[in-house]
Amino acid sequence: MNNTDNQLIATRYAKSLIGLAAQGGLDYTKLYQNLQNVKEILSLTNELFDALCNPVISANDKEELISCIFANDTDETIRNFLKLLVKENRFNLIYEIIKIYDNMLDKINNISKVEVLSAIELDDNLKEQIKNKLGEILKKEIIVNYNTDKSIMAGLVYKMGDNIFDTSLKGKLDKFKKAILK
Amino acid sequence: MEIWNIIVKSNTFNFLILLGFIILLCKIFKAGSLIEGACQKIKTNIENSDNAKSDSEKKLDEARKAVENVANEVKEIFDNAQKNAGLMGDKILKEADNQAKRIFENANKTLEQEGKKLVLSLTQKTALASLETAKNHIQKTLEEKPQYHNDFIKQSIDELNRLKTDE
Repeated sequence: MNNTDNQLIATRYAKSLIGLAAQGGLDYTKLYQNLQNVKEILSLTNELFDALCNPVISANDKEELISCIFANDTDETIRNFLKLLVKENRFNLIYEIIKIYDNMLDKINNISKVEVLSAIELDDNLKEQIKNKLGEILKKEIIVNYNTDKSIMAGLVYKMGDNIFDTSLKGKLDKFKKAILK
Repeated sequence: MEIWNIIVKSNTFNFLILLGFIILLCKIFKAGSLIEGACQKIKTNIENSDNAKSDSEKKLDEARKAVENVANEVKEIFDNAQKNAGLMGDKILKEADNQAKRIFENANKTLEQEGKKLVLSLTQKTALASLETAKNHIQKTLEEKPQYHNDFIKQSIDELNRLKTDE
């Protein structure tokens, strides 16, 4: 099965989660928080993820494992969802499902998450300017994650989901270099 | 006796004796048939000679005619050969000329293309070297004057307007 197929399947599961929240079982934010908890617990040890994806281990054992490990940090609805994934042998898609759910939730809440890369640490004034400008352009509530990367030389690189808007000096020089080599 | 002497010594008598002797000889050797045979032979030879002569004359005529035609044929062949040689020569010259032109044109084209490639390659190399120098210079300037970063950042913020126009 290729990546596109996995993406489609993960989207279907993410949509079902959104549907679940829309029906009022669990609100979007709680659902989001629950999924973040799942992600955090899974990140503690790779063995847990491997075990839940392992086809040799029976679905019943996996379900028991989920009931034990996620009992304190997740709602029953989410645990049932995880059990369903295990039963359907789709637990390997959990990270993709969470990512797609996050994106869908952002759309619902009219939120855009943007990562901004700069060569130097930005002061608060510049951060404010960037956030306001992004909000003005994208007409959404903006959540900005600021990071530094000296290799971009100067200027800024904006990452919005899978889209990259490169206004850095390195990006411009690279474009110029490509134009020369054409 | 004297009369005898006169008779014996006379020419007429001698002639008669000779005649008689000849007739005798002719009878002995059948001179008539010999002469007739010889005559016949001579006659045949004359006839053969006449035939040979007329044959020779005929052959001579034929030979003359043949020689006359040969001369014409030789002339015709020579004329044709000259004509063909002329045509072939023209054709060969024309082809050689065309080929030379083609070779010259191809050589010119190749030369031109190679020249362009060389110029492009040199331009590229020069431009890339200039770009690298500029990059190092900018890097150094930014390290010496970090306040320039703010200008680039402000420019980057302004460039977000492009997202608006792209939409």
